[in-house]
Amino acid sequence: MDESKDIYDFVIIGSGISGLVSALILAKNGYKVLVLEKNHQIGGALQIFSRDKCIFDTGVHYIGGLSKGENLHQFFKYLGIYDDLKLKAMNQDCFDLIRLSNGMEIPHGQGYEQFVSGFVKAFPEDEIAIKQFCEKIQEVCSYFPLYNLECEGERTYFSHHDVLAIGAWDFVSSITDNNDLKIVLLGSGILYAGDAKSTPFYVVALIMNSFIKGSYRLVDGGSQLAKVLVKRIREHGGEVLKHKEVIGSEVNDQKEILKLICADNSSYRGRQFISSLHPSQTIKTIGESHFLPAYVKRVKGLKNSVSTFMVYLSFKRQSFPYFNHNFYEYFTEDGWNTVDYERKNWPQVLYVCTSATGKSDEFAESLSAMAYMSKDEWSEWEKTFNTIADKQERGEAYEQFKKQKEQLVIEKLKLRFPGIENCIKNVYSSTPLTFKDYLGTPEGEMYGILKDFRNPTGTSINTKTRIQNLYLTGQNIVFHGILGATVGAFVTCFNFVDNNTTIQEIKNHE
Amino acid sequence: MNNSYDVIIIGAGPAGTLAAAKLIKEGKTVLILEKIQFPRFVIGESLLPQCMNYLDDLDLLPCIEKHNFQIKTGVCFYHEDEVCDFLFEKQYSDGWHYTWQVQRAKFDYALATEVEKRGAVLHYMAEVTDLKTSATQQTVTYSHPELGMQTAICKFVLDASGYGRVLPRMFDLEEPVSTPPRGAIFVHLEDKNRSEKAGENIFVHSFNENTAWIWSIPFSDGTTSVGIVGNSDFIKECESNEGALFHKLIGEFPGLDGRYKNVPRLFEPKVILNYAVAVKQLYGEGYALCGNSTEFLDPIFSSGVTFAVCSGYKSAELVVKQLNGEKVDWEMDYSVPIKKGIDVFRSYVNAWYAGDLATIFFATERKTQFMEQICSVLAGYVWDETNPFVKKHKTLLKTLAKVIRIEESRIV
Repeated sequence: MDESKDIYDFVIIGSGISGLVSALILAKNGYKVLVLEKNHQIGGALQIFSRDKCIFDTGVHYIGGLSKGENLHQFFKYLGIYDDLKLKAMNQDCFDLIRLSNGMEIPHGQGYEQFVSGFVKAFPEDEIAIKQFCEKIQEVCSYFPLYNLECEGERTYFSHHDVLAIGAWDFVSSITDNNDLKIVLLGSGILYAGDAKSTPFYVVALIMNSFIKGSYRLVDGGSQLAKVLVKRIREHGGEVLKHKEVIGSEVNDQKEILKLICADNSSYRGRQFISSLHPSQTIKTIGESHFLPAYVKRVKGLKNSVSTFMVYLSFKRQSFPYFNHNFYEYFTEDGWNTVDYERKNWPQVLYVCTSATGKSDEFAESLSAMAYMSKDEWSEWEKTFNTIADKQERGEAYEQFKKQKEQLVIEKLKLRFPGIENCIKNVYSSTPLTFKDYLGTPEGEMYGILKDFRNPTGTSINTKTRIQNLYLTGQNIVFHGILGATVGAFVTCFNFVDNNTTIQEIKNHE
Repeated sequence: MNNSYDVIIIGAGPAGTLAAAKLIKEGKTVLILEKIQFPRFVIGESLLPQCMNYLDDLDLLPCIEKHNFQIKTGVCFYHEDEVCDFLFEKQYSDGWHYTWQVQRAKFDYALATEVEKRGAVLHYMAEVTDLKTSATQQTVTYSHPELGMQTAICKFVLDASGYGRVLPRMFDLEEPVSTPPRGAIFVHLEDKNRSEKAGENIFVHSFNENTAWIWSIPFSDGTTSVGIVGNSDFIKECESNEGALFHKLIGEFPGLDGRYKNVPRLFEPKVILNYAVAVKQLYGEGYALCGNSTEFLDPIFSSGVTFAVCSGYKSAELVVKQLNGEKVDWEMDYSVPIKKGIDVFRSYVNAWYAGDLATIFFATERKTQFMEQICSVLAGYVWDETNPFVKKHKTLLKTLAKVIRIEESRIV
């Protein structure tokens, strides 16, 4: 076995945003860190790919909370990465455009005033409800101290558990009877798999608040975020290695991990270990026998969120406009019951965005469209595997299946973007299997473990595992997305670095 | 005796395979006897959204999706310079928004292969020569090139033989049809001139004062099915001289802009004359008919496969009930609803050739509500009695066409 002589303070599995941010926080605090990534490309959901000279994002399409003084802005300032990012502010009066099946179009504007005024024109009688919605978002956010760059607060969600038990759909139903208004208020639901039966209001609040307070695109792709994080990690003496798929571990009698073993037969020793993988994937990777059966059972019992089918279009030169906002296209009146969809009018909801490039503000090079896709659609190919690092074929039937789904998405796009078919150069797509293979999520899920307001504690994950020197981070700790994963990384690292001084430092960073 | 099954199905087209899938799902054993070897060519390439309900219920969509057939989201009618576009997205009934345009050789074979995988015994090249029916046991005799003459017994026989018309002929169930004799001539072409701007949905051009029409059914592989329907005499004329008139018509038809002129053909034009068929009854002791072996009206609304799928499913559902010892009223539970659906389409076929539909489709002002309700009929939802264009099918089209004619004469 090819064993590294070094003993690292921290060995981190996975180079997604949470893994890299964790590594950087720890490296900044003087620890010797190593990040192991199985793929050819670092970044997890920040990975990009290119076709027809266009860059396509696989996971990140816009980021909130980046305006000066906002949480993510301060986190990024503290990490020393903010100034390196190529950002493009999205339209103030409309960063998300919600379009309903009855032809109604409502913008989500930045800043609460702008947000409310975008609605009031279409729903003049519901101004009070719209304002109540905004107030509730801000109230619920105040229960999350770290989100507000505080160590503690008077009222926090640990002391006031009730705040986690509010259903998003139930809440909007309590303030209005207007179904259109409900859908539009929660119009960006496909960002977090919004579902009437399960989605907690706090998930909506934390995510929407961050976007309302400043929405940005990463120009020329999300991978720049991963690249600059790696650069800083290396500057602080840390290491990031690719093509290192962790497949096992060596654990001593005291139930401490001594080292991680990779598929290429290399192994890495460490004092502490952090896994940014899905908890069940972590158990599989480290070795199930090292965990308490009750822990294994609980983790395996967690329900995963849905995954998505992505269609990527490249356009003929200067044929399709760039939109400095996203589209949420609804093709059904029952917009918050679309996660468990029927096939008859799939896709019932689409997230659509044109990507920002440094080349042109007027025209888009490409477009991405995202729709839910449940497991029964792709379970036939569940056992296949295909990534750049490990290239295999899934077969002709799978390719034809993808083409079918592409066609269905394009048919819907044609309804909302008339003439789009004449602009398309090529069509590409990815299924949940792509996410499953690249991100190592058990079901290719996009939004981590399913959060359920009916069972808030049962669907949350602790950073500590039953193995003494193994910790978890990632999208499942707090919530998914750039902000969620970043906050999650801080939560994990506060096991090792003092949270008071760190938060003060974050807060006071200029 | 080991050549014994719960149900024997004659024919492995969509009616037979849907029935088989339903029976297998309910735990019944099935033998399918198909006269020829699959895959085989057959016409009837455009499906309706309504059939998706049944395919989905029996989990048959995945085996079709794998072939990436052309998705059909609507149907487009042309008359001289006028266009009438129906999109299933915009319809009255809560139905499917899409279906497919399929090469039937592949489609039928995919379904047949899937039901075989699920446990149906399927013999190709098996021709039924005799059937003896009784209340409890049916004896089917069939010939097979390798097995020779065979006898199999079962509790029930479903005739899904389509144009084979096995039981209608054997039991003298055929009935004359009242419509004038019509025929079709068709071909598959390499659709080289298909422009990116052209829609991919089936489109229909009517001509000769609505007595004839041309269909185009684009496929996902870049080929297209093109055909002409008209009075049998006219179709014979199209066919004569190696199809000279047919080729001239599709090559030079004004609305087609030369799209099908001098493009390679996948085979020489085929002809079906006097396609309409009917039967006296849909069931008897120990047997029932489903699919085209019942009644076939006309290809104009692409209802053939959809009726096959639907009647295959429904008849199998009743067979299951009967085999499970429940009382089945074949008249009220099968014959009446199936004929009701056929009658709705009959009104539309009649209205098409009478020109009433052209009046409605190409009216100067088209009322969205009516068009959405008609769209649901064109999508195959002919049992949705909340739709006035289903419920009052006999009178509503005539009345509406009349009102439009009066209004338009005023405009002029």
